[in-house]
Amino acid sequence: MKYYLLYVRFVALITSFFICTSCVSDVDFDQAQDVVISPTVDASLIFFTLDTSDFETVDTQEVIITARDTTRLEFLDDDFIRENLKEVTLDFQVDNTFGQSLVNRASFLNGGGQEQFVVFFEITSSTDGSVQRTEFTQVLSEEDIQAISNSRILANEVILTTNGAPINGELSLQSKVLYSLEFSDL
Amino acid sequence: MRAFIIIYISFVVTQVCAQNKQLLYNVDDLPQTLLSNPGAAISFEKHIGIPLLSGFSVSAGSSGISTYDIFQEGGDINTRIRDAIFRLDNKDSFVVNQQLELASFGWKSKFTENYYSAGLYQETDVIAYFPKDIAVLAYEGNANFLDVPFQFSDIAVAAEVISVYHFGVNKEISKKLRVGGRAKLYMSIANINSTNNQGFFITRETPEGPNFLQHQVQDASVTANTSGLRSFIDEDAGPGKAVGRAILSNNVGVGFDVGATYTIDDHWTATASVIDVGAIFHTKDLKNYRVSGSYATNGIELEFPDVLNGEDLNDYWQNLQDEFEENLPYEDSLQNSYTTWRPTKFNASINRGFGANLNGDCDCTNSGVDRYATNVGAQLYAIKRPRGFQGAATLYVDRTWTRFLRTKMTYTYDAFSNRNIGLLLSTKINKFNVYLAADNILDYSNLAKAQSASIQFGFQLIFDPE
Repeated sequence: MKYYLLYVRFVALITSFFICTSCVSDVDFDQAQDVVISPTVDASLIFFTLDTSDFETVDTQEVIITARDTTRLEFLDDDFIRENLKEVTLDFQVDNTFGQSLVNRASFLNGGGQEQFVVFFEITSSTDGSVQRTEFTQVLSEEDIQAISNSRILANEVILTTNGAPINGELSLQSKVLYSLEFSDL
Repeated sequence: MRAFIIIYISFVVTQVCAQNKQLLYNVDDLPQTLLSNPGAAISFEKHIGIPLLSGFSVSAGSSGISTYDIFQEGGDINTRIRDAIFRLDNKDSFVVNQQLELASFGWKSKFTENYYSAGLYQETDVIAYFPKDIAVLAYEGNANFLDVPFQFSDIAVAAEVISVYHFGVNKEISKKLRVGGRAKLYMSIANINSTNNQGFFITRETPEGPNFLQHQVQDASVTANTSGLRSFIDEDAGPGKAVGRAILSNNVGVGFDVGATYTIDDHWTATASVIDVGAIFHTKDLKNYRVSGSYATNGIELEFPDVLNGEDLNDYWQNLQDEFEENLPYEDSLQNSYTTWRPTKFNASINRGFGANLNGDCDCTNSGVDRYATNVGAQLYAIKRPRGFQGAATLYVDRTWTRFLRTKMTYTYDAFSNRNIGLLLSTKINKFNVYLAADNILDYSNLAKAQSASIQFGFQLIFDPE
C-alpha cells in the first residue's frame, strides 16, 4: 500500500509537470479583430461591336441616332459586395472607324429603372476610315460607389450625330471593372 | 468567423507526422508497441487494458509556421498573414490524429509460444493541405494575377472517424527472428474526402479578343465525398448513432499490419513494420458534392436587337447564368460509393543494447534473447499521405532504471522540426502499469511557438513471466 501511494504520487507529479509547464504566452488572440482581407478583383463587364446596320434609320433627316441595349448586372447590388466595396474603377476602350461624332453613355439603373450613375465619354471619330482608339477610365468617388451599388441594370447607348456624310464604319467597345474590396470584422 | 480564424491558424500553424509514435516503438514491455510493430520482441506474457484508459494519444500540428508567427504581440497581423500565405505551399499540411483504446488484451499461448493480442480502438485522423492557390485568390483577388492559373488540385482534405477491431499474432520463428501480423476490421463512423481535385481558374488578358479579359474555368473536377454524415445532417441523428457505428458500421474496411524483429547478434537488433495496409469501402449513408466542366466568358456581349423591327430583347444575365450552370453543373445529391485507403505507416529501427541483461545470464523464458537495461538506436518513420510520404528520423536512449521505472528519450527530425525532444515515462507497480509520453517537450513552456505537439498515456495490467 505504501509503495502504491508512492507510485500514485509519482505519476501525479509527472503529469502535473507537463500540465504546469505547458502554456501559451507572448501571443494576443485579440488581434483577430484586426484581420483585414482586401482582395482586388478584375472582372469583365460588357462588350459589343456595332456596324453601319445598327445606325440605319428610316428618317433620313434625323440628326441623332442612338443604338441602345440593356442588361441586368445583379452582382452590382449584392449585399456582400456593397458592404465591403472600397474602390471601383471602370475601364473602357473603343475602336472606331465611323467618321461621325459619337458618344458612349453607360447608365446604371436600379430595379425600378431609375438612373443611379452615368458614365459618359466621347468616342474619337475617324476622318479617313482608319481605326481610332479611345480609352476612358473612371475612378468612382465614394458617392459614385454608393450609387452604383444601388444599381442592377446597365443601359448602354452609343449616340451618333450625323454630319451629312454616309454612315459607314465599325465600332467595338470593351469594358471591365476593378473592385477593391475590404473585409474586416470577420 | 473570428473564432474560425483563430482555431484554423492555431492548428494550421501549430507540424507533423502526427501518427508517429516514436516514443512507444520498441518499448518491449508495453503492449502498445505491438500496435506499431506486431513483430516486436515483447517481454510480457499477458496484458489487459483498463477499458477506455489503456491507451490514449492525441497529436496535432502543421508545417510551415506556428501560432506565435501569426499572433505574436506587436506588429501588424495582416502583414504576418500575408507573408504566411505566400511562404506556405500546397504541401504544407494541418494534421490531427487521436486514438483511444476501448478494449485491449493479449496472452501468450501455453502451447505454441505465440503471443495473441486483440482489441478495439477508435481513431480520428484529419489532414488538410494548405490550399495555396485558393488562399491567394481569396486573399489577394485576381487583379494582380492575370494569366496565372489557380489550381483546384490545391484543395485536398481527408478526415475520418473510425473504430478498429484487431487481432494479432506475434510469433518467434527462430532465435534470431520474430514476426507478427495483425488483421484489422475498420468501422467507419464518419468520413470526408476531397483529395483528387483537378482544373483551374484563370483570368486571361485578351488583347486580340473581344474584351479586355477572359475568365476561364478549365477542366474542373472538384469532388467532396462524405459517408456517415447525411444521416446526421438530413435526418438529425443523435450521438447514439455514432456509438452504434463504432460497434457495427455499414461502411467497413479491412487491413493488416506486419512486422518483424531480427536479432543480429548479442547486442544488435533490427526491426521493421508496415501498419494499416487497408481500405475502407463507403457504400451507405453517402453524400457526394461535385462541380465539373469547363467554361469561359469575356463578359456580356450586347447585341443591340432591332426592337422596332420585331427582334426580341435578350436576357443576357439569365443566359450567362444558364450557360454557367450548364457548363459547370453543381451536384449535391449524389450518392456514389467510394473507397478510401488508410494512411499506411512504415517503421524501421536499429538498436544497440548495453549494460545488465535484464533476463539474467541464462534466460529461459524468452528464448535466450538478451534484454538490456540501456538501449540506444535510430528509428525511421514514414506515412503515406494524399500528396506523398511524410517522414521522420529519430535517435533515442531507452533506459530501464528499475522494475518500477523505464524512460525513453527521443530526438526526432522531420521536415517540420529540428528540435523535437520527446520523453516517455513508464512505471509499474506489481502488474499495474502507467505510461505517459510527450514530444516537443522543449516547446511546452510556450506551445504557441510549437509546430507540433503530442501526448500519449495509458493504464493497464501487464503480466511478466514468472
